[in-house]
Amino acid sequence: MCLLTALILFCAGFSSVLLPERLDYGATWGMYEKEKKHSVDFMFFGSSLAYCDIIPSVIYEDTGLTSYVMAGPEQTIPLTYWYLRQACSTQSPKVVFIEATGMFFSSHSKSVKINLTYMPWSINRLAPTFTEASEDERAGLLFPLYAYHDRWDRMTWDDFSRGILGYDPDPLAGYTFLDAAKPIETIKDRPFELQEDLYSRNLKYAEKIAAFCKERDILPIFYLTPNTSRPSAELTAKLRTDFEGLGVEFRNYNDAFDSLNLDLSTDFFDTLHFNYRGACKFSAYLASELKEFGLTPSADADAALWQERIRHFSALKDKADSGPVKLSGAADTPS
Amino acid sequence: MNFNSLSYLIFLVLNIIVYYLLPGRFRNLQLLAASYYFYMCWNPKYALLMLFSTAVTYFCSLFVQRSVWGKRRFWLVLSLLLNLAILFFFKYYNFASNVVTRALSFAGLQMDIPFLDVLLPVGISFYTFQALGYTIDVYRKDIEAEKSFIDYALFVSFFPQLVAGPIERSGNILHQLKEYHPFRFDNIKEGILPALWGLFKKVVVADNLAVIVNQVYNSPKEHTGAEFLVATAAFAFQIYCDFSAYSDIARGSAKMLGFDLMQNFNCPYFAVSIKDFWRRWHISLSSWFKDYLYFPLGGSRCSKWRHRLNIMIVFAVSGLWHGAALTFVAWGLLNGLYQVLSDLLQPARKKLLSLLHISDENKGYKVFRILVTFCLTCLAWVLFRANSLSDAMQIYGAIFRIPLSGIHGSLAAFGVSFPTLVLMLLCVLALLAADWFIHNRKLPQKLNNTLVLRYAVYFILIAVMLLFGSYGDGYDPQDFVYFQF
Repeated sequence: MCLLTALILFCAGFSSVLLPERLDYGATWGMYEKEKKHSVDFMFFGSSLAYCDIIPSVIYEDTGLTSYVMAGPEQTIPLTYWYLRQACSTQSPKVVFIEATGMFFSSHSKSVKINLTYMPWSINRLAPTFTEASEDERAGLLFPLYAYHDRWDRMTWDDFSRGILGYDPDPLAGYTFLDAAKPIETIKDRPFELQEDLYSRNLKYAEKIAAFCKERDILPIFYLTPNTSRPSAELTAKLRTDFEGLGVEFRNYNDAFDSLNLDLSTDFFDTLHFNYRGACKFSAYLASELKEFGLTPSADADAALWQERIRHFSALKDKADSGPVKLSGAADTPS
Repeated sequence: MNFNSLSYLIFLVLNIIVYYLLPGRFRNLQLLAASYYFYMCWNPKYALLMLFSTAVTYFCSLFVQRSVWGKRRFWLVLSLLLNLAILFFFKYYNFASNVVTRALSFAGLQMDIPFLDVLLPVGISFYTFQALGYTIDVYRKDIEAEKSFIDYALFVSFFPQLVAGPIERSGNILHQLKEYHPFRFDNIKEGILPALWGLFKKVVVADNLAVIVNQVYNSPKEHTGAEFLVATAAFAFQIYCDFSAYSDIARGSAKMLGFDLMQNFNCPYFAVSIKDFWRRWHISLSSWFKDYLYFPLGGSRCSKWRHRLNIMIVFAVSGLWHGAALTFVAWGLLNGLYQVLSDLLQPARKKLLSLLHISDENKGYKVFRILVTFCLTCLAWVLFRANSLSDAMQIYGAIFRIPLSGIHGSLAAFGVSFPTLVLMLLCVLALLAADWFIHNRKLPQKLNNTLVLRYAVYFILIAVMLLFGSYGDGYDPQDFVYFQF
């Protein structure tokens, strides 16, 4: 028994130490867990279209409302469902925004592993490990040493201290700062091929999200982020019909594209994602919309932390603004 | 189903539970079924081959004992011929046909001898030699022929030692198959330690060293003499850890079922001469050759030159046993040559030692001999590991080029990080120390008698395997090297 306990402690300790640091590009559960409990008013879920495009500190500065982006790379709707459940175990948002492009994502990608690896241990991690991850990925997800033990020769003292003491709260509240720009020439349809069985499965999980939100008295809003490679009008109409069928609100922010005053030459990181300039504009737009909910800011919010977040983002922004616009050279990333 | 897999762990635990739950009379049947299942995990069809070999040796041995038709020798020869024919067909046919074709071509003759597209049955050399040893023992009247086919089939196929030895002797195993093995916690305790130690050697040392060895040996043109020296020393420990790991896990697994298998290794790299090395390395095979080939050839009870010829024959066959390639034959012959030269130089050596007033027991001299033996063994390992004879010659050329051409640029030549190289060096030192304590200070017995120490060792071995072991995403778990033999 002692041997087993010692081995479990050893595995848990070294799994946490050997796991690569995760500070941005979604799935940042280590930092999310350090957020003061029940202090977030709004939450955003989805793929990189969420964590690259929404800046909670901008929203806070404009409205005093606290928000957090708990998204993951190429996140599928089933994973969003499990993310939502897990996120709501420590926070009680009044409204959740779910980026809906994931409705057209394929059921599995190489990012499933990253989405799940950093999740805290709970049924919300274990269930998708068996339903969403491939057989090859399962061993590493259930037993992280299996996947990451070979990092031992690259370990630093920082890894040790982070692994043992944990993360600090995220200074960007789930947002990933992108400063480079890709000039966009045209706005076009993103080439999704609708796979009926996959879409139905995603819709089933959207229904589960709605049911979960109802149970927790949360308002769910599915939305499409504004970008220059977007689902076709036909697919967008299908989304609207299906979400309305589920009785949940759907917002297509591409409709507001013109009112965002976006500069196609400087505000995008690639055809799908904003850089900080575009994200600022979209977040400010969202902030103005959020006011319509008439929510009073959470009394439990850590005001000092949020002021620090505003300062941190401003510093990043000022630094990026002070130089010439960097070109991202990004390809049309698919997430 | 490799020993270093989760499936083997489950298989072993289930078998141990069922074995001790079953009444005594069903246990051998259960182990036989388990052993055939274990073998069929590689290739189900080849289980028939093992069954055939078992049936041949079983019946021939019975006929030898009963002198059916009054011809004991006939049944022995029949058993030997049939088994060796199978071995030749699956293991040596293509090699022989290649050698013959080349020889004919060298003599200016062209002949197309067809090649066979057959897979080498796993462990065929091991179980064939074990079965042949039994038949010879019966012929020599060292043992009685086994009457129970189930027990005999289990003797040939007993899963812990089936695919890579030790090549057990009938006298050691058959009587154990007749005994009732009650559940004893001591057996589990005594089995876990060698099994864990073996796993550590395989997963941490052998498979990590394999990366260095493969990197250098698989592209001989791109490496220097110094790199080959490092890689060859690495291979010496890789093959030792790999093979002795299998024997340790086999012994540990068998012990948990109540069986004692023979020791297959005894600190080989502490050997003070090549002759001593072969008393410590793959003991079950060396003793097999000694009893069934060397002694029948006349051993040392003949003229000096005949004795030396016997040594060369035994080592050439031993090389061929390891693999159907000229590199293995050359490796065997080189080991034989070492012994013959050592024999020839013995008078001069003795004279020199007496001139220098050095006794055989002098510690410094002993260390010197250990180092020289290790270097000679390593030189021979070049032939064992090289992908071809021409590669081996190229490697020797690089090693003996003076001055040594140095290691190119960085340690990247070895394909592993610097911390991994340091880890491997520490592991090898720890291995040598542990080996010495195991064989000279009865370390396992001491550990098994001290609860806290025993569990501390379990913990350290498992933890080190989990952290530094060669497993998981991105790893290609290496098969045990001796499986191919």
